[in-house]
Amino acid sequence: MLRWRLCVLLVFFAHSTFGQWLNYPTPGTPRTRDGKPDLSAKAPRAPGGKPDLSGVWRTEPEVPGKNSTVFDVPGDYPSTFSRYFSNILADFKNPEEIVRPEAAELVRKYRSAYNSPGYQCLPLSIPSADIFSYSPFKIIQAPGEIVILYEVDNTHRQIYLDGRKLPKDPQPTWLGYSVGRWEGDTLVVDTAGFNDNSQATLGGYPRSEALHVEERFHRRDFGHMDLQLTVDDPKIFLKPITIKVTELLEPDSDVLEMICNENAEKDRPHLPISK
Amino acid sequence: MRAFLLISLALTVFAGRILAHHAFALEYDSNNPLTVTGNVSKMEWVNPHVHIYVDSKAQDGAVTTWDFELGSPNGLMRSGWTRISLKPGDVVTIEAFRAKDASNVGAAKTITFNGKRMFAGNANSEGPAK
Repeated sequence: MLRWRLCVLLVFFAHSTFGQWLNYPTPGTPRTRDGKPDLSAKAPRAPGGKPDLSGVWRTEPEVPGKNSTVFDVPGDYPSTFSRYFSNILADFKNPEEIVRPEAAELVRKYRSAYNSPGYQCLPLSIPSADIFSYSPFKIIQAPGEIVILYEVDNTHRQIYLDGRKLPKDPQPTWLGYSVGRWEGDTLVVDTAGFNDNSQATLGGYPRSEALHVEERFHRRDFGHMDLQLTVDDPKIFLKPITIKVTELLEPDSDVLEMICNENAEKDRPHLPISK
Repeated sequence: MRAFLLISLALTVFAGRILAHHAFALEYDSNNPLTVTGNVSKMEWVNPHVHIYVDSKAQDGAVTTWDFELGSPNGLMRSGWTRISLKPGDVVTIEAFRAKDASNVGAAKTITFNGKRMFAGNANSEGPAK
């Protein structure tokens, strides 16, 4: 019972962020009478009438205790993780049945949790950075283009909405190439052209250059956005995998600089991967 | 400003602390918890993890320097920590898990300072400034 009370306390404090640049009242934010951001207000519209997705967002964490991960610290509640962060197949009872037999060895290697690019401060990429509840991301919506700044690894993406198509023979990159379009009030983003150095999710499954990710962003109201992600990697999985998460607005907040490699050398001597 | 160290009960649990770029189990031994009291010699406010160095004096006068790893600077900042929350000379008691290689390195779990038990690394909880 005490554990649950503590959980409630933690959830209560989840958005009471504090720090330099983290509590600056954002202009244009609807507010309740007491001056707090009105997170259930209507979703804002961009010039032209489409929803404006701009803002600082963070993935809703899983209920504490529900998603034990290799990152857990004893006595810890892994409440800062979303359900799928370390396992994109969390919904599958027998995840091995989804993995292509010829990819099984590669999956075993990555699932060991001792071979993640993240341990070397290499980018999480997507969809991992979309569902990494520990760090927020910022969407900046402009006419014809949307930019996402991910706090984790200080990475950024450009999503073009000017009608261009994905490149036919892309040079593989960490975050791929992204193009978007509106389907009603839902922004649909297609991304391909990934390298095979990162993973579908941190501590999770590998990816190939054949990976294609579809993101469907739908801002429900001012403070909540549905994000449906489909990961289609025909060289790793037997069928596309779709997950749904909720992104929570972090009002009056911002993303911060995060240069992971600043001091990573210090940690490496203790990591088996370095030996 | 030490008076600001009003920490909620929630801080007495170690919720959600993660080692953002590597797994806890990779480096630290959950079966080897330890508690160290000593003087802060340095707070290293760097990515991917903040480190606090503590000089602990044994009964025979021998001094051991411990290196404790905390969460990321951003995670700590969101919970109210700054790089001057602890200063050289401050007396702290740190609950931690020791590194698997048995060096004087640990993953900090809680830090008690001025009678307040604080959290060592979660982005979604509170630190010294609350």
